[in-house]
Amino acid sequence: MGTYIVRRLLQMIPVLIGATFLIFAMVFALPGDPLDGKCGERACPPAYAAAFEEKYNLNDPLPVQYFKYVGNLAHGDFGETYNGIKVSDQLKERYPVTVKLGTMAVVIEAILGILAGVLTGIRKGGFLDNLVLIATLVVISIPIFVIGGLAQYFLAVKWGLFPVTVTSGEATFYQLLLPAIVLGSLSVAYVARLTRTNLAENLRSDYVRTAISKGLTKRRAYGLHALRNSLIPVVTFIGFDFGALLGGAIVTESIFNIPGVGNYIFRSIKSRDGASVVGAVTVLVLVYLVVNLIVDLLYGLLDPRISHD
Amino acid sequence: MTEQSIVEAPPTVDPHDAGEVGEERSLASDAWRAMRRNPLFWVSAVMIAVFVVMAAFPGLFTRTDPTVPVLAEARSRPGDGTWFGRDIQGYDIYARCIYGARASILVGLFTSIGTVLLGGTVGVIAGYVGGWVDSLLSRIGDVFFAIPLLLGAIIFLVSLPDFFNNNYLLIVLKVVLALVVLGWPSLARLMRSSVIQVKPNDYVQAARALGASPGRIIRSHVLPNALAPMIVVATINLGAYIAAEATLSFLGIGLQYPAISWGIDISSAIVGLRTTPHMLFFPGMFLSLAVLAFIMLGDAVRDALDPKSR
Repeated sequence: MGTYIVRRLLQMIPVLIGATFLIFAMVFALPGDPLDGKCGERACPPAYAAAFEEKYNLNDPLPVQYFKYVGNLAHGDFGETYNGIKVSDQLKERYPVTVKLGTMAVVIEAILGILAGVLTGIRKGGFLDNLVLIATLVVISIPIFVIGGLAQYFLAVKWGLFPVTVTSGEATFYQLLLPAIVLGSLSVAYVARLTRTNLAENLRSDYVRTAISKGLTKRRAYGLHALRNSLIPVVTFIGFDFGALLGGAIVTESIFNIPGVGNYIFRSIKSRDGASVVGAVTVLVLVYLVVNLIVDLLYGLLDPRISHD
Repeated sequence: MTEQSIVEAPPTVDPHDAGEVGEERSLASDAWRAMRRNPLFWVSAVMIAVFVVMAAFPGLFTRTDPTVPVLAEARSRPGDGTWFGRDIQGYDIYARCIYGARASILVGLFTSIGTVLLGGTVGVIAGYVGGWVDSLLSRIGDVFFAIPLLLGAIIFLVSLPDFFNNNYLLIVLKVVLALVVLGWPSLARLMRSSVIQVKPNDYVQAARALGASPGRIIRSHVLPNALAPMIVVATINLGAYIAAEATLSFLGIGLQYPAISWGIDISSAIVGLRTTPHMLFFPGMFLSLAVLAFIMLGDAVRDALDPKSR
């Protein structure tokens, strides 16, 4: 187990380096000069421009800039934005909201999705099954920004069930509830379908028949034996999805005016602020890799045949 | 291409259908037989056909020019002279919905072809050659896979040179490129795992023993038996890419005025949601129906190709 984790952590390093380099190279290619408009309606004095370029390593070629950046990153230094604000401070401000939103979405997705999947998987072909299948198809095909707009209009503006927008950086649970439902809606549909297919397949298997024939109640045979085995692909999906939700929250964040990390990256790209973009995306990639490692470790709990020794 | 290469596969005989003797039975013809009986397939096929005709010949559906505004009638409701009403700029929403199909279908189709070609090739090489080549290609795939699709696409699109904004096809190609660059690893992983499953089979070993070249083994023995999962996922992804294009256009990064796209129209409609919801409803409906059609087709193809679900 220990060696497995160490090996996986070591494998993360090339992926992390590759991903940061990719983002760094793309940000490097962004058109526009960071000095534009820095000194009002005139060009910056040469001395200031030289000092500025020196400070942000703007005169170095791409690989040198990148190595300097990674060197600082290894010390936990995310660098500064062109306005002289520490990127790490900004990330500390932005990430909690997005992580809270993403976690709520994942919890909603897991509970609702697995519940719907179990209810339909047990009675495949019934009325409820068809209803849920059609409902998931509808949810999957409506893009999230349409769902978000409609939910905001009907549930928040018209009927007043939820707050319309998030008004502060420290968003409450209630304020984030509707955005989290919107963000998780697509995944709920996928989780429900995945659980349903896997459960229906496992219910036909020999070990469930054995469990029933040796006198176990249906609840125990299905819940303990069939469901546990059916959950492996579902857990994989949910784990992968957490990373995707954090990165994909940008649309939901812009609809509900949430000051999260997606919004931050979007604004930084538009203002050509490289350090913020690379820093924020690096953290996203890191979260994604760590969550995937945790998911792989969870396999052992769900299916004792899988061991990491 | 895929149809033919599947037909060349060694025929798998289904014992349940032993009645029809003499007719050639292959995986593809079996799948086609199952698919023909599926109403889901026909519904989605008709919807896709309509959208493709709409994309190719929008003039068949409307004579109104979608780029001619009638400002005096801006924000008029459906039925006031036009079928779907007019938007903030006074454009005919019906005409814009029809003309918007082209961008979505083109982006979806090209992105799917691109990811299948790139991801499929990488997956086959990684799975068939194995060893350090596999490790290298898999790690490269991991790098692209770890970057969130939407954010990566936004950075990619912004960093592309202005050359790509010259004409309509280049703008479409720009969005396609961004989605292909970030979307290929999932198909490569899928292809790699199915090639690894097929490779140890006896008929592959036999072909190698008979002296067949690696190219021939891959072409006529490995590929036909490993393609099915990728076809299914690529079809479903086509719908997802259409949604992704609309999302990027919604954020103001993908297609831009004067290009016509459902995403752009939804984005400009969302500000007037409270007073003129019809401006959001119609492009949103067209977009959802297009995505739905491809997802249903993917479901039908999976049901036909996966013997376990039958």
